[in-house]
Amino acid sequence: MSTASKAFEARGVSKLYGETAVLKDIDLSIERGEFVVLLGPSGCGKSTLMRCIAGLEKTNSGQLLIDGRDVTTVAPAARDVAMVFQSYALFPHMNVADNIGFGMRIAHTPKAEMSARVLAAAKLLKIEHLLDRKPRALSGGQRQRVAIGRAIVRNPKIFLFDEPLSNLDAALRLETRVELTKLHHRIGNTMIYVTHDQVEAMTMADKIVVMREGRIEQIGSPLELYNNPKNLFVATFLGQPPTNVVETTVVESSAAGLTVAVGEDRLTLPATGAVLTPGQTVRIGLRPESFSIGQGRGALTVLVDLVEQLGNETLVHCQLANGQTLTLKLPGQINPPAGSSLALDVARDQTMIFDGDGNNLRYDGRAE
Amino acid sequence: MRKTVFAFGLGTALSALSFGALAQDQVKLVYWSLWNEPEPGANVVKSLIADYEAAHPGVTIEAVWNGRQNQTTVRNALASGTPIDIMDADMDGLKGGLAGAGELLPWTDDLAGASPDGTGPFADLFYPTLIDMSANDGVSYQIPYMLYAYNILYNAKLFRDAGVTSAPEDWDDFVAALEKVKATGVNAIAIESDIAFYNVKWFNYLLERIAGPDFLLKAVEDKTGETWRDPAVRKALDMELDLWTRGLVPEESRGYQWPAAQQTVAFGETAAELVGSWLPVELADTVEEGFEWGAMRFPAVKGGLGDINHVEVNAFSFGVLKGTKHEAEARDFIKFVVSAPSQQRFADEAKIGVANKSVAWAPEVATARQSLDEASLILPENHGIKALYPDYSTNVYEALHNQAFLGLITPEDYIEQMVSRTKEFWANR
Amino acid sequence: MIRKRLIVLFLAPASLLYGGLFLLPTLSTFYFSLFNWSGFGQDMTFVGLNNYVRLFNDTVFWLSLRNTLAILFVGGFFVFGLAFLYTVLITSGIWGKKFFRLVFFLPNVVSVVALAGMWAYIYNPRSGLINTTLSTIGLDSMAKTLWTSPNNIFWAMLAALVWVFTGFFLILLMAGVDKIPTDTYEAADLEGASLWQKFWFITVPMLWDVMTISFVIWMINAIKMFEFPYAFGFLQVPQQLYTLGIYLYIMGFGQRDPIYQLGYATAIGVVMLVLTFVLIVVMRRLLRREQLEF
Repeated sequence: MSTASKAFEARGVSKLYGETAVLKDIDLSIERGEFVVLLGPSGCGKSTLMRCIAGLEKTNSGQLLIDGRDVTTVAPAARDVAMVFQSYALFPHMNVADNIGFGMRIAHTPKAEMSARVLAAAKLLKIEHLLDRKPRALSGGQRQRVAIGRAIVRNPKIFLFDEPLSNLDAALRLETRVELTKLHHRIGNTMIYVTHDQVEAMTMADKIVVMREGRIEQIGSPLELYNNPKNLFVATFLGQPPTNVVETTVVESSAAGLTVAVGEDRLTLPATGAVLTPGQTVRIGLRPESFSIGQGRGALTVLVDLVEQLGNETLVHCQLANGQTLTLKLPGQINPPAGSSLALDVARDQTMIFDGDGNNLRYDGRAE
Repeated sequence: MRKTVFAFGLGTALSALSFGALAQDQVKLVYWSLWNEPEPGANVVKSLIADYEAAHPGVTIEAVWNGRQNQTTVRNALASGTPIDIMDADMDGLKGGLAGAGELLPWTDDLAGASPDGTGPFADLFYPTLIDMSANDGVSYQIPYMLYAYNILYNAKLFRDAGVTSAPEDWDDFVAALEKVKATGVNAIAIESDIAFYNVKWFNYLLERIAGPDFLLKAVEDKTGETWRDPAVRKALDMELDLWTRGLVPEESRGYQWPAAQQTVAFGETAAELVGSWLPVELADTVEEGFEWGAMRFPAVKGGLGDINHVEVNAFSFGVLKGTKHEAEARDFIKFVVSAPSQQRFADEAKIGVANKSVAWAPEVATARQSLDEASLILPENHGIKALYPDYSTNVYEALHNQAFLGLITPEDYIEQMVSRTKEFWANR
Repeated sequence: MIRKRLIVLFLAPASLLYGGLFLLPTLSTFYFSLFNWSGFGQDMTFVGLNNYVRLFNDTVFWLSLRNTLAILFVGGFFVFGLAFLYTVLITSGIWGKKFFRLVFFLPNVVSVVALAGMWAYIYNPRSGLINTTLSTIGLDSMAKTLWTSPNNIFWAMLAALVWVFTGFFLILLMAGVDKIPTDTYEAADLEGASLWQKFWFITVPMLWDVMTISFVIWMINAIKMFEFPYAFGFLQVPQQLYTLGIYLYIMGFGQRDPIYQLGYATAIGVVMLVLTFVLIVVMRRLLRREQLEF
């Protein structure tokens, strides 16, 4: 595919609020029909990036392209995007039909066409029985559907969702998540979705863009990011409970493997390309689910602090001999008493090794 | 025991006695004034009060400075029972107001009695006809003390420069003189467009000069309004409008809001204004050093029934309120204020004209005084209709005249409206 | 039972104040309007509805009423027109917001007399701000306009009055606009709404309750309009500037003249009260809408 036919492209986009840079040299391209999640902690610039795409904020430098067309200075309405706001931004004085049809109304679309399209969108979202109601007579979930309906009816090139689930309760959130994914499969438009919730990102995205402090940290499919994080930030941001980060001392580094010391214990990990000298401190990342109760001595010895039973699995919070904490996610139901000692085996292929700057030494750039 | 009671009783009786005696000696007069406190006139009144209090140890005078709408303030205060002994107001206002309502004490006996300086009757202290003019049905309820004459006040130097050396006594000569002034490049007449009661003086005088001093009141009191169709009305109107046609009044005067026009007099841009003799005092801070004020009598009209020596005036008067508990002291204080030495102080320090005819006025208004000395008849504001029919005077007479004078309505319209509005006035009464 | 008594107890001061300071004076106003009374002394003559008959036949009363209605409607049109224009400017984020705010808020902190003096300077035929500016930019024929001549003075006063009042209603409307969430406007931007469409489809309906209150406040202010036109008239208010309020004052309290017709003045007051009441009822009916939640 040529560059011109990407659904969306950002080239070196920067944005300043006064002196503060909130977006720093963003490069991003999105294929047609992709569901892309912009993920990051609050203040990382993900919402600002989305508002720039929508045209609600002006960029200070760089280019924005939609379907190959430069829209950097184009008015929001002319960009052919639709946005679902976190607050839904419904017009409180209009009923559902008027809310959904607002864009057509101000464009003087004929009445018959307008009501047909409004009805179609409403049917898709199963809110056709609510068309006469005002927003205040709707539940949170219904309001959200209206907001989505207002976007759908325009059939835009790109849908923009700004944390659309954050105002819903947990059960409804789960349900809506699934429905949104289904909706995406059904209508197939490109969607860009902003969230700070890594579960939403993991479950919905074709592609996740992890952002921090105005920069893109890594772009990839959910599993790529999970299995092959570029750095400590991405590694700890994805996954629940988060990756355990343990400080270790290099004992031996060779082509055959890397041996590190954790207190009295020794761990042998796959080799890295980097030069590591014995005695150097490295941080290793261990996913909670990469542990198993050891046969015999095991690789690591820990003391149990607290056990959380989830039924299908068990979370065990424990301590290494040198005081560092670990969280284990073990399958099934086990119940080691607090204070007891456990011998653990570690799935070596799932370990990550970070240098002093937090870069994952096992990151495989070719995977992208 | 009995002794103590007796002593106690005696003590109480004694202190009550001394207190009573004290109260009797100490008279406090309350005076509500038409002056605003910072005015020169108020300063003179203050100094007079100080002198009076010094000469009369038992009397103190408390002044309340209310400004020109004093009478309304006094009315409201009386309604709420505030004790007031003396007040002052515009003479015609007082005549139509408190005096008319019977709220003031009459002065008939005092005016017939000896004057405060002991030189003949009290009434003779004042300009002739001033006291009669202020009386309600022949009874005087007020004592005038300040006096302003309506004259053509002018910048003597500008007239001299134009070659006008003596005051014209006839309308045609007057217009000719103004033309000469205009020819030297200054404006002849100053007009404030928004002050109807200034502008109506032109009409008052012209009507008087043409049809005599009784005509206006007769026209107002004609319930059919038909008197307004008298040719004298049209003639007076045409004569004053002629000033505009000739350009003697600059066209832009139609937009002047007080004090815009009188400022041009002060700056030497305009030569004359028909106004009361308070103007030199009002402009004292604005005119240049050595500004030479002149005042000429309003000129006569050839073949007219009026007289150049009929002068319209405005005066301020004192009244003593009916409810006073200190009548004698109040009357005494007012007599003190109108005595020659007190009046001289007003004339010298505040440079205002005074009602006591024996007092010399300040140089700025000396010519105004001369016109009064020569006056054969003194006319009240709007020839008496302001005091007798104040709502007509304001709402009909002055308002409609201003519209005609400034060209908002034609003379024909003016006459028609005067007829119908006069009829309306009497029908509504 | 105790609760009920307590409620009565707590309501009593407010009711007494309301009754004593509003109801009673209102009723007595109507009572006094049935008399001829100078306000001096106790002499009151009962004349029935004569004062009202006289009002009906009084040219100056109709003139004052006409001026009052001109202030209410023409003035109101411009006051709210300007106030709305500014709220549109705010929602469009245009340059100069602060400058406009200063210009419009200034009159709210300066005394009416000072404002009138300022406008006299602005309108002065020869040395005034408007005419000197006009002649500086070469519009000499316009520079000769006499803004305060009798044919123009009412409109000149009204223009100044509009400026004096716009700021106040701007504060009210802006408080209402601030309450409208910004993303509502952003949603409209994305739908392609123009400035005017945003104003008409979003600002106006979402500002409805604030607008209704503002209109009522303006209506009350306009009908009792007194201070500014009075101050604009300085020494003597020209009849062209008479409002009902000024005519009431002239008839009841004289200005420089001894017109003391309190009964007649009170009848004017009653007319003003009735006018206010009727107009408010009519307006509230016309503008009634359901409550909004946002």
